[in-house]
Amino acid sequence: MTRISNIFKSLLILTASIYLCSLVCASGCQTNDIQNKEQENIPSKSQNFPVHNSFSVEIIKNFSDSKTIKDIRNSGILKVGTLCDNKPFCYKNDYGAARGFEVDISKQIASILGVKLNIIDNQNKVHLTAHHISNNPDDEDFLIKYFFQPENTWICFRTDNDHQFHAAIQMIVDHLYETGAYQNIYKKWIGKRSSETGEN
Amino acid sequence: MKHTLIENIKRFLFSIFLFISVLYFPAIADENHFEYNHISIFNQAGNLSADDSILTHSINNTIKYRFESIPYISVIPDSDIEMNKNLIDIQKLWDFNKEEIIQVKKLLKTNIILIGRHIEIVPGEIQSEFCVIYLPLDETIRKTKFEIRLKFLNIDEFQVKIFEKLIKELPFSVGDSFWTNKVLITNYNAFWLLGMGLQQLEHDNHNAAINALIEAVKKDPGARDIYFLLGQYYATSRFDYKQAIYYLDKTLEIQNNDPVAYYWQGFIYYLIADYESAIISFEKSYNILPEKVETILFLATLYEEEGNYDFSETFYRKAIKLVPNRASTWYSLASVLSIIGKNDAAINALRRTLELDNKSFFDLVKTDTDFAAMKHNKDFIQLIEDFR
Repeated sequence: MTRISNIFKSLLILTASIYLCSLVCASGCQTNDIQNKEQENIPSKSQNFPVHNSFSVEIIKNFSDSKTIKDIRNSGILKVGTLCDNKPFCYKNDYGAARGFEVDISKQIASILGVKLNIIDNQNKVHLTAHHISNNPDDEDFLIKYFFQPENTWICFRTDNDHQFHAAIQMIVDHLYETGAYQNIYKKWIGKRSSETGEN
Repeated sequence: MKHTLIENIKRFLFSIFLFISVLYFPAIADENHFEYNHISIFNQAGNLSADDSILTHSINNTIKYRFESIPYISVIPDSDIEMNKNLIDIQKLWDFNKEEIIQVKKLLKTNIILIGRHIEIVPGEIQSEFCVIYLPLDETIRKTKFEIRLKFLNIDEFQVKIFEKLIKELPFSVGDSFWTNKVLITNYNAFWLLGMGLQQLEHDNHNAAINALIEAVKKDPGARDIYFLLGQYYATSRFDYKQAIYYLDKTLEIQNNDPVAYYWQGFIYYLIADYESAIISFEKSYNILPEKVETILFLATLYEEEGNYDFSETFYRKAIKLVPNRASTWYSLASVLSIIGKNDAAINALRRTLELDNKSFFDLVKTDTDFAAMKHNKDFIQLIEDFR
């Protein structure tokens, strides 16, 4: 009987040991899994989507030498400065989130660059500023402007002084204009009768 | 004596219980450790003749399109593969080179790699070779290579046979709808022209490609895949979104419950900033195929952009349920929660983000203006300290 009892005891100890080992192994494997994932993750993918569109691929590849684009891609954030106090161009909703025409355009730009957008309520330390104006602004370096009738509004973007970044933003804004995205955002926020005329 | 016997019986029963627990523990753990599959499909076209390369393109494309409508599967977009093509050596993958497999896993965030090549060994008889590399969560690599020989008599029957043989070897189930929704190419010439179009696209001969595809739809006006490919092509390569919508509408005329066509329609509306139409299309896609995480994420983003934060939160949570270990989804959820003032939940979501991917997100958490309102919250300060 004692022998049988010892066999039971041994079996019990063995089983418990296997069980404990499996528990330790399972939690250890999970930790390793997370650690490996941390090591393997490609940095700065703040967005949920892969780059679906070859236009994005072109922009990111062709302007990969741009210091600003590198900064944006590495940080995962496009910082756009705008005065957020004028509906429908830029205003804060009941929750304090920025909304409006300039915000939606900036979101499209950020989406093409594969990063998240941050609207900053001033014009300093940003990658890009967006604003609207009723008089034709003077042509100057790093300024991109579009005119809309009949509202007689100039929409302007000013990039930081990185020529490559400026060229990339010019291409993106032109692309948004050519594909109709720009006009759709204009219609949504400013007027149903958006003009077909754009000007660089 | 009696007491000892009862004790021993108790111990015996307990040890049996423990033994069964040990046996079943991995199974229980596996059930809870759900895995959403991200599959990347490559054409292993090296050393193939031009004709075999055409065949490979059309067969692999048909496989890719069918897989896109399988629950719990995402097919890695061609543009992602294209973006990284200089960094990927398909021959090395085919040869199961471990470093190359790990590299592709990192680059494409994929957990299943499928490579197929198809050769017409004698007229009317195809030899298909597949290589499947599966990278489960436990970081092991499971791989298999197999050949199929099939008579190429009836083109739609041929496609079904390929699926039947291939699916047996894959580490996921395809669901019943996979077999019922098979709008296949029924004309041999159309199948061939599709492959030719794809091959020309790979070589950047766009006019020749479009001519081949237009000819293909003339041969088989019911070929869903060819209209769909044209829609995708106009959207992603020509940025002619009007034309893209036209071809996707044609796709939906053939199969009006096609979740992938609705998904692409939604994506195109998103690209042209027609958010209302985008939501309608993504909702249709979601109602047919609720397990596709990309659709859910688009809906979450669009509702957020439209200022409907409650819906946005709901969809981010649905996405997390499907793919619990994607840091960027937790991060996006945290942004929405922060906007609507659910600070405790936002901090918890940020904690999960940083647990999953501290390297990518730590600086973002500190600088993102979405979290500016929480800057002085003691739990937020603690979070930053914990992950510094």
